[in-house]
Amino acid sequence: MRVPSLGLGIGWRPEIALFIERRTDLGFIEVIAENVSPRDSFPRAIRQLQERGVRVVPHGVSLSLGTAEGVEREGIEMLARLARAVDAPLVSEHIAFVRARGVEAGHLLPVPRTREQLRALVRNIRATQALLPVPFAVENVAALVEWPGAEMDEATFLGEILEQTGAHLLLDLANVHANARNHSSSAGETLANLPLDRVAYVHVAGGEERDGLYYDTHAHRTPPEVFELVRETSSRVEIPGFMLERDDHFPSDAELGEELDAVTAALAEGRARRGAHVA
Amino acid sequence: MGILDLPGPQFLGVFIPILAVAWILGSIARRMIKPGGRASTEVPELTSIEAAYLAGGSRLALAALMTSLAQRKAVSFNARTRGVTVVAETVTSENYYGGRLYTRMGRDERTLESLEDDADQVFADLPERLKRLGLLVADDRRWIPQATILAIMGAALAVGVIKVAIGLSRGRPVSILLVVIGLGVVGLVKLLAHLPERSSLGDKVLKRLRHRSAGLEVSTAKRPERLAPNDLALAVALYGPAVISVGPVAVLAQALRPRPPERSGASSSHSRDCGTDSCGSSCGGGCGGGGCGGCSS
Repeated sequence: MRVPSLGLGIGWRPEIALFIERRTDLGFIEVIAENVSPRDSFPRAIRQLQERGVRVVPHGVSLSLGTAEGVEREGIEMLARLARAVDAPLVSEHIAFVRARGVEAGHLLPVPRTREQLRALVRNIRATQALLPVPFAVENVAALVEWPGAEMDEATFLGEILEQTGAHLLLDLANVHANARNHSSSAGETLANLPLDRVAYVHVAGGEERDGLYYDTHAHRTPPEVFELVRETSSRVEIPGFMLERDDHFPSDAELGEELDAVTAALAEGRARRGAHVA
Repeated sequence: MGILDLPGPQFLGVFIPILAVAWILGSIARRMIKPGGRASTEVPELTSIEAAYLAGGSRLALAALMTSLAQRKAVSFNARTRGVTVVAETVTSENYYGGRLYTRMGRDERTLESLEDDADQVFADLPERLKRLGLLVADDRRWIPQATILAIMGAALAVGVIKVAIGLSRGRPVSILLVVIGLGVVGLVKLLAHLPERSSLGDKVLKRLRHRSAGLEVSTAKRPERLAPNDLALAVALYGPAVISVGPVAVLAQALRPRPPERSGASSSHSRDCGTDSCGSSCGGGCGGGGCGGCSS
């Protein structure tokens, strides 16, 4: 299943609902699936955006695709119901685990990059796809620590998942940047080895460095390095959608608007580079 | 045999339902017939203060203005004394009604109650403007809903009055019928009292504003301190002061919430019948006694 063009987007949060309402160039919003109910409390503000033609992408945070014991059917069914309710073009989740043997971590934990883990992920993603009425995209996460015994690099691992499941990639460039900073790898190299033609949309967000580690906080301005990754990505291939994530320490509407404008500008610059290469 | 020839008990069995139906029709007319005096269906853009006045009269307009000024840090509020003090007058040039309020407030602390007493004067020119826009029922068309209600209820009551005359001429007891007619007159008076001032166009404008401001309601409830003063005022206008429950302005906003009407000595001088849909969740139990910034429906 193909993902349609989404355009510019932003993560919908109540704190910035008015800002989003007034931003007329948005093609889509991403909603945290666990925070909205298709039944009784689906925010009117989101419905109103839909009436304007803004697409809504449900984004799960608790499916726990990396869990060895399998994903919970109710969680997938909830995503499917929401996808139908909002006429979603796709649904996304993280390549992570949030629970094991019934214990909730409360965080998106990175998975070890091993063949065994790959098999568990593929099984869970296929089970999810089987119940979803729309395409499914999986997101690369930021990892402060790496599991020992990695059998492949991040790009290869992601590529294997996509190839074996047919899923799309929700490429979080802020996480690519964070992992490169924290594990002394090259973000550009990771990007170069990823199957960018499988990208459904891209996350852009800010973070901060504390005690030598870069935290993907979603509470700070997007750093220049991430904007450069936006340029680099869009210079290689046309990506259906780019969106800004902001979860805390919300800046003024003007500042948030500048950040969205910067995403648009970086995209245009990347496309121009691509055009120059083709010419 | 006509209705007027029916024996007393049977007549009452028909007359009471007729009166009830007439009262229901009168209520519907009261809600539906709100002429704005404008042929155009063009919906005008309103400022937040105008929207507040349209939604809930001068008291809601005052609440919107006060929260806007507090957001600008132009006034401070003492929750203990319910007193408001001007701390910065720099906004007077950009806020017409803020300037008018400041003129009345002076330098001393004023209680919210005393400011509410002045609210009609602060916003004295607003009703005329809203009438010109067709958002409030025009003075020269106020007779239309009144006449409609009178015609409906009057026709029903007339049947009873005629029957009383017939009964008296025949020497029959008419006391129960008189009581029923008396109740009908009370119902008629209630229908005619405090007719909605907002026109159908005014209802439409408010509905449209609320519809397109869903994001405003969500953001105000979650993080009001992020909003521009005018946006916060609009949120109060559309959803009432209760929508602000967190943040620095929340204490003032909660104090501005409509209070239950007092049993005795309560002033009704601010009452402004604002229509049928302004008594939303924000007004809570304050409606019905002028507590919703003037709602009385």
